[in-house]
Amino acid sequence: MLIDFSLIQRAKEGDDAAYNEIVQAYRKRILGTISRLIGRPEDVEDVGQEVFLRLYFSLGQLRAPEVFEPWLYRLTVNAAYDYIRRNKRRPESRMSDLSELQVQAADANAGSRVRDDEVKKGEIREFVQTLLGKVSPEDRILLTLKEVEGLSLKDLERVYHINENALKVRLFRARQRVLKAFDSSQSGLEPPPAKDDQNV
Amino acid sequence: MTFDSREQKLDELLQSYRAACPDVDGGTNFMPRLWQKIESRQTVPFRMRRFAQAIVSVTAVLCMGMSVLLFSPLMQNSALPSYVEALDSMHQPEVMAYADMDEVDSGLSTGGEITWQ
Repeated sequence: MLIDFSLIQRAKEGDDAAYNEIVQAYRKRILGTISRLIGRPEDVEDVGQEVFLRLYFSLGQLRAPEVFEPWLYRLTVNAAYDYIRRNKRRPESRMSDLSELQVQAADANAGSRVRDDEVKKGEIREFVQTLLGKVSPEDRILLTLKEVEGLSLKDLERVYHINENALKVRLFRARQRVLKAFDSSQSGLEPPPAKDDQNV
Repeated sequence: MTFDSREQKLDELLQSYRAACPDVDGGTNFMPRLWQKIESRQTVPFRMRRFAQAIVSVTAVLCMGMSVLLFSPLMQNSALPSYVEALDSMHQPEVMAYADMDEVDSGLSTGGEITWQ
């Protein structure tokens, strides 16, 4: 926990200063998680504000301060999921979606630049985001929380309110779908687009 | 590529993804914007709550007023009829009907034209 239970209690009772402290403590972590979940840096702040807004108006429903962190993650997951679903049809241009000719042109244009660490990081980000974009939002969020954010199965149980075995099955299936997309990206074939009813 | 190597490669990729993502702090306007949004969302429910409270108060006052009027001795004596009065008023049309029938009978016995009055 990044904060005291007493701070949560004070915020629950309507203390705005306590709420401010909670936001300051969790802001960086939540915004980082959101940026990895949605993969669009320009919208991270908006989704983050939505999370803290939901926190403000639903803090009274929190039963015990001990479950605050999984509860905040749950709000984050819901906001990220809403965002991904809302923006599913928004046109998005990534390197991996471009034709070979366009990639060659982009490479030639960028040839003069030095391929430093930031460029490599950018490529990794782009590749992983494209890969995760090929599976359903549910798979994407679950796998990111487990493999990228490093949440344990116990943490995920409290976020998703499902038992460990069901969670393991979901994770396994999500991983298989990402691996399939990964294989397709390695062999140059496009995997089929994610279906809406692909819930695990 | 074997299954294990694919799994391992995917794990490495996801780990490097975490390292490749920059820290996001939200900037200096994050908190002011957040409070603006909170206040703008607060106004509508607050108005609704105040309106609902006003409606409840008015309804309660009206209910109390009506019950006082209904059960006051003044109302019971003057406005509400007694049981006998009510029965009496119910029988009045019947009496009138008998009276009319008398007139019909008298018309038949004299051989005159039957007229309903």
